[in-house]
Amino acid sequence: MTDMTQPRPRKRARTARVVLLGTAAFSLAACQPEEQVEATVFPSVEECRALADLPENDFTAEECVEGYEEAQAIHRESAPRYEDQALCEEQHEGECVVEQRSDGSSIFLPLLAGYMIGNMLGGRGMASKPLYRTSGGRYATPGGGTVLSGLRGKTQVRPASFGASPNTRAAAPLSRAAVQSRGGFGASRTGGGFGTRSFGG
Amino acid sequence: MRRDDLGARDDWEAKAEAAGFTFHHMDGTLYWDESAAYAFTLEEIERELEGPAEELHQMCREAVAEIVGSDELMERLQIPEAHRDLVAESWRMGEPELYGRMDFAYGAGGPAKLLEYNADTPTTLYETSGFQWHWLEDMIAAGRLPEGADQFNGIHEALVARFAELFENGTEIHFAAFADAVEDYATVETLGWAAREAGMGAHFTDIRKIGVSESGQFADEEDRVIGTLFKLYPWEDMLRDDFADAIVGSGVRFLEPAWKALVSNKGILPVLWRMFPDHPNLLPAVFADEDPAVLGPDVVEKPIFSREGAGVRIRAGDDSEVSADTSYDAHPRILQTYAPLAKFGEDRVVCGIWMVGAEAHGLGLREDVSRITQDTSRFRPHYIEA
Repeated sequence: MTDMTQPRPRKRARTARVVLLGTAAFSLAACQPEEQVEATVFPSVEECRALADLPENDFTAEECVEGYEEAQAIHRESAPRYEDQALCEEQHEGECVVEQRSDGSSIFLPLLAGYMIGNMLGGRGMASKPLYRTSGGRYATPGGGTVLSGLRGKTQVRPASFGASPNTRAAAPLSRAAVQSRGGFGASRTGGGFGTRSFGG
Repeated sequence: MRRDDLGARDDWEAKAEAAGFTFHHMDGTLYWDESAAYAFTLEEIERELEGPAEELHQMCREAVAEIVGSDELMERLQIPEAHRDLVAESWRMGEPELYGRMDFAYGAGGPAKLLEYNADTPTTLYETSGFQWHWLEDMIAAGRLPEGADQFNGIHEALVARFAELFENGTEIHFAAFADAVEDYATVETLGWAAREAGMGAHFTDIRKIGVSESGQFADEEDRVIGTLFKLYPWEDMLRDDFADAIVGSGVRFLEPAWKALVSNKGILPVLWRMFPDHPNLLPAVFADEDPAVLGPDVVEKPIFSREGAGVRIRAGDDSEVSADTSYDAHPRILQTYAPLAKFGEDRVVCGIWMVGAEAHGLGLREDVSRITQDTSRFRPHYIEA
């Protein structure tokens, strides 16, 4: 009896080429490579001017002053504004100042911690953004879209970091409910709030 | 099914490191253990595990249809009242499932018995679909297993096909987990690879860094809006978190869908037994406040929400054993007839059948000297005899 040798259906995949890369995997392979622009960060206009003459820096002392003025103008329009002082100080780990609104109410703003300047893409000249200290000890642009670890030196940021900031002058001030809009998942309440145990099994 | 002492590859540890599989030891003890491997016949795989798993999945879907229509059952499964519509609606809308893993007692004679269905947040995906696959290829290449040896492991290809079936090409999918839980992270990274291979964009975010925008959308840690979210985080916790109220308005498509909260819940086990009494692959099960007469003398008690064996208590004479982890003890419990795990040497083994969509596509085995499989239980590879 001749037996037709039937190829048995294969029960395993043809490929399973997965390499675990750790936290870099998603950002490296998944995101579109986005153009970055260079930004230089200063705690004060004086520090910027002192560095402007160094040969490795491509900004001038005038640009330091213009950048600072632009950061202050943005600060007036876009600084985070809070309904109470304690909340503001907690969010920015430091002093906040009061501002009177035309309706007589008081709202609170953090002080400028520093600013960053950089060349916009496409030769559109120098741009600037104010920076505020965050409750995590870092420094953020208005709206929190860009967060930096320090107040000195050069860094690469997304071009959008120099994009328009939200206008907060007429908007409702931030309440506690509004600033807690992150971190609402992960309490793991059914397991008694364990932090980093695995959820698998 | 038998266990063969094949011996490990000399360079397995270097290969694990090169593959990024860094948790081959956990807390100093071996986790990936290829010193021995399990051998199955094709008949055992197809008739006794694959077929039953697919049938059980359909039975679970029928049970979900039953539960979403019953306030009594929604209450027994502890679905918060405010979010029962969310769960029921995800079922009525036919939101698709991606993956899951059924754990079976099998190999001690008789049909495979479903212990539970980890249908929401199963891990060990990389070990099963990736490193186990490479092990077999190496063993065949080295002549230590015959050319015709195979493995029940089409998981990776099935996941790629499932992503392509569920989403339009180029869909951006966020994958969320606790970044510092390495085995959870490895599972989402493995899924991310499959999603990319299917033509999707894949982004990682720590589940704790997700935010809600003023317009009610969820955003990742870089403020990118989330449209589709795979979350390696249990629905029962999602529904008790501060953001639970924001889920409906966020417009996010979730993987797994919210109705999986009912399937991964051990409360589905008594519901299945009510609906399909005496099914050969089910163990008798009741809610803890119901008459346990149907269970017989040897009983396992399980909290409805536990993970990694936490809170499990076996009351079975000499086989009695109690989990030291009591973190889930505040929750209602179910009782299930005790099914002894197959024992090889000193070790007891659980067979995990991986589901992709409604189909079974792979097998991963966990072994422990304990009767309660936990997160440190060793992983062993398997093969199908030529």
